[in-house]
Amino acid sequence: MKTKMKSYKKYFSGAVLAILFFTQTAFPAKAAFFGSTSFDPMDAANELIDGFGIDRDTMNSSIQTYNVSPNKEISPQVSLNFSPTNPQLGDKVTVTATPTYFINDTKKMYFTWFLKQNGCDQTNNPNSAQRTKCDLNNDGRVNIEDYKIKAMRIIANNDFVWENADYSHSDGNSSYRAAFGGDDQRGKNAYCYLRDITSGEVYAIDCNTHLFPDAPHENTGDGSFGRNEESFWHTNPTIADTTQSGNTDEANVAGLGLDSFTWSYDSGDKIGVVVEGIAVSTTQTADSSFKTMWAAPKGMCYKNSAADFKNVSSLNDCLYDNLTSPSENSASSSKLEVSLSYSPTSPINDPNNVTDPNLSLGDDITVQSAVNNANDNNYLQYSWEAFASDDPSPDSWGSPLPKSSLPNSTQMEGLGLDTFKFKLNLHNPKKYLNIKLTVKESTGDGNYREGHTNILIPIKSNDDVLSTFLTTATNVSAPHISMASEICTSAIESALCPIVKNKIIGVKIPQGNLTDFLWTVDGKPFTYSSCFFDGCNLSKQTNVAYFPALKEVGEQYIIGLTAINQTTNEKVSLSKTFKVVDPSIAISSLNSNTCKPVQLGNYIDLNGKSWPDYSTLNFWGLSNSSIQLQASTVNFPSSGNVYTWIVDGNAIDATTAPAFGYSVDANGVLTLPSKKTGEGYNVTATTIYSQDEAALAALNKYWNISYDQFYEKNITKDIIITMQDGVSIASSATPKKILATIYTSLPSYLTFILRITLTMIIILFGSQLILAFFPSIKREIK
Amino acid sequence: MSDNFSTKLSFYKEKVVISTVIFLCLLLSVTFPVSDSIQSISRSIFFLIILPILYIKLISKETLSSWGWIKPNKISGLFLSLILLALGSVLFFLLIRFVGFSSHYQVPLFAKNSFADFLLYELFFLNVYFFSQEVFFKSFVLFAFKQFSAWAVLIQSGLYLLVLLISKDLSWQTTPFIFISLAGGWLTYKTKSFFYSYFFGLLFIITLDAYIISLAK
Repeated sequence: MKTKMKSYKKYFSGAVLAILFFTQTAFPAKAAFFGSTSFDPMDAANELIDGFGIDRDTMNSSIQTYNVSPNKEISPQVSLNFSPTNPQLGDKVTVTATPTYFINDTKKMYFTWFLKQNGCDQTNNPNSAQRTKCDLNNDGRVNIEDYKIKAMRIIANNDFVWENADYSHSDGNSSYRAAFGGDDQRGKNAYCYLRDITSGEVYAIDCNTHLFPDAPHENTGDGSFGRNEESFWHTNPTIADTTQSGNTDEANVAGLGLDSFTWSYDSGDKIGVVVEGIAVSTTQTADSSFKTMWAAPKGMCYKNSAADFKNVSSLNDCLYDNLTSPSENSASSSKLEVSLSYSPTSPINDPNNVTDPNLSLGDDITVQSAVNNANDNNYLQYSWEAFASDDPSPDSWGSPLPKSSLPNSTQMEGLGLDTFKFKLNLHNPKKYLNIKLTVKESTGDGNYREGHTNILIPIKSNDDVLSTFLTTATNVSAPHISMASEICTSAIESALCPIVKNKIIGVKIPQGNLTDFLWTVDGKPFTYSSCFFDGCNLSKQTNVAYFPALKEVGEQYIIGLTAINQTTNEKVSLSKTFKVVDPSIAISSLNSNTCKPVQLGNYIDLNGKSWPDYSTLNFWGLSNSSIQLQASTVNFPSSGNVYTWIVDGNAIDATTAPAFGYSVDANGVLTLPSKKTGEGYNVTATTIYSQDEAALAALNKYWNISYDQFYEKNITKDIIITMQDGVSIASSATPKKILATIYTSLPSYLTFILRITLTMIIILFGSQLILAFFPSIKREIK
Repeated sequence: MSDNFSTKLSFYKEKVVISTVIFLCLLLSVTFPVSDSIQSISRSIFFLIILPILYIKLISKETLSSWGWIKPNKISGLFLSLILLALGSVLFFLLIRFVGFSSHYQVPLFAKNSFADFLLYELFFLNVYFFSQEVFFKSFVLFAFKQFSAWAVLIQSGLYLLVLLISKDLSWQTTPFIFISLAGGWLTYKTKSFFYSYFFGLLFIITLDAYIISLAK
């Protein structure tokens, strides 16, 4: 009873103490410390955390993150790179594996390659063809083992001619014992793991084997590599290292450090690799071991839960999902890289002459494509499409323009059409043309690589072209300038317009709907102190402008114009480049049948158009025909120019010409008499280049050019005429001209025939005469 | 004895006369004055083709067939032509491969530009020159000395070589024609028709030119 009471006392006192403790009545110091009259451990903990300045939410989040961090660890991975990325049948393809998140050095890891050939799908009942081609271990099935054998046999064999090898015995040194996790994990305990892709949980699996391929009734990596295995793997039985790579034959079959694999590509081939090594995370056992894990290009066993896999050998089932083809693996590089460019850079449309594009002045647009990564650019399938819109980036470009609406367009679909050309001769053109190109290349296995791109071409109308003019000036006291002949209208000169120093050049754009003109020369606005031309307005610029060419020969001017199109409220920007050149004159023949410049060859412009290139020095003359020559200025006004002719060193004019047998008519045309073949003339024309007084006054008054800067200059032009017979000079002539040439040379040819006939008659007569004194003899070849 | 002497004298006299005519033909085919290319072509045709034909018909009073103008319809001739063509191909392939013949032998630039220009050159310009040469050397010269049997082949080839030497045309450019001169002479001697030699030579030159052009591209 006493004992019972003692026990109750004990419990009671304990309970009181406990109550006192939690109500703090017994510990006033603690109550003061916690700052509360009643004690709440949670509050106390929170107050403690707050006291250290820690945010509780952040701490909770961090703890939660820490709790799941093992699930977030990155598993070992491997990526593949193919070279070439788009192999053709028979190409040697090298695939390189790049493992990541393994600790081992690459050379210490095991790379098990597997190669599946076309027609070798996994089956437990292969037909005879599959049995022969695919069932390499003769187990009556075609599976991942056969794929591994195919690949590792290529590696181990290394082109050794095994058919003639004697496999009755082995060198005995070809063996290799593999260690779980890699060659550098030798001596450590083996722990194999597989990570569940979804949950991130890591599951331990039984390290029952490696994923190496095995010869029938043999184990790869067991430290034994006898003649049976040498024979099966087609290795050289007389040496330990058939590949001469430093690995023994068995190490090669185990894939030790073999991070690349090369084979002859066949259509439908698929390749894969599984890499064995140690993961970054360690085991929790009290030893030096790491987690032995496997990596495959698409992930290990990502289709199933890792819990379903109990041992390493079961991982083989995951490898089928890791087969990949070079093109599939290199999706980005399999896309053809297509680029487009076009010329001319600012194409101009001519809305006129729609019925006959050949008369149109519109630019010939050439869109040139380039494909950088095609296997063979000659066998690319091109498909060109053209769209038009007034908006550079519309929601929809609509339907492509039909070929018929693109004048002179080249073929739009077919092999090798890397260039698309058409003429800008559109009646109602939109502001932008969008040229789209799709290029396809057959990969040889029934599939195609494809690439496409487009290019936007802004279209300028013919109305928006700057016209350039030479000028005339009148009235010396108050010079007035007006436009004379238009220059730089040809394609070549419109790109770089030649002008002569100290000449005033006029530029003009049709008024149309344009307003707010701003002309600039080399970026600076045109300014005039007073009006000196029609259409001038001192308060604002107009559609006409004048500028003097004051720079030195060889230098350039860039004339710019910006204006606003009132109809569309859009800004129009145009520019034209001028080059200062020396003044020059040219000598031309009035009759190209009797005298013409020598053709040196042909220019071919950016559009592929051919332009004849004539010599300015050497001329052909037709023998026995008179020649008429005329001199003219090239890049300055010709009015009032007087030419002096020098023929074979003799200066002549209309008066003195008859004394030499020549003539110069009222228009300055020089006529030279005929000469024989091989003879010729040296002809020089001379004139004086100068400014008229009104133009000088205008330059002085409006552009402050002092008179001492002007000069007169003698300009000469020489030509050499060589007389030729009719055939030579008419070589590029039309059929009519050829007939004319033959006709003109007919008399001399008849004379020639007569002479040659007479010569022949004399020879024949002489022979007859001599032989007449003797009897004729006839013999046959014996 | 007297008849024999007379026959011999007549024989040698005839050879001297025909040799003189051959010499004059060659000389005039080069030196007869011309003023343009049409006259130049005409000169070759007159002195290398027409004059020899007239001599055969008017002076020798023989049929052209006895001077090699026989239609080429013998299988054996065709067979020999093919053999020589193969032989020439091998020979010039070796020259191209080991002696750099292709860098010395020139095909006119314009004939390289297009197939049509190539055909124009080979079948017109070259053909006219080559045919006149074949008629003169393979028909006229070779059959003028037919009494000397196979030596006639060497005589006409030697004469051709002499012409090249004198005109300073002996170069890599004329090597194929020297080969044709010898091979075609033998072919004519065996077949008694110069047409085999003509067709063989023309085909050989066209093939060679085409091959040289293809090497340059």
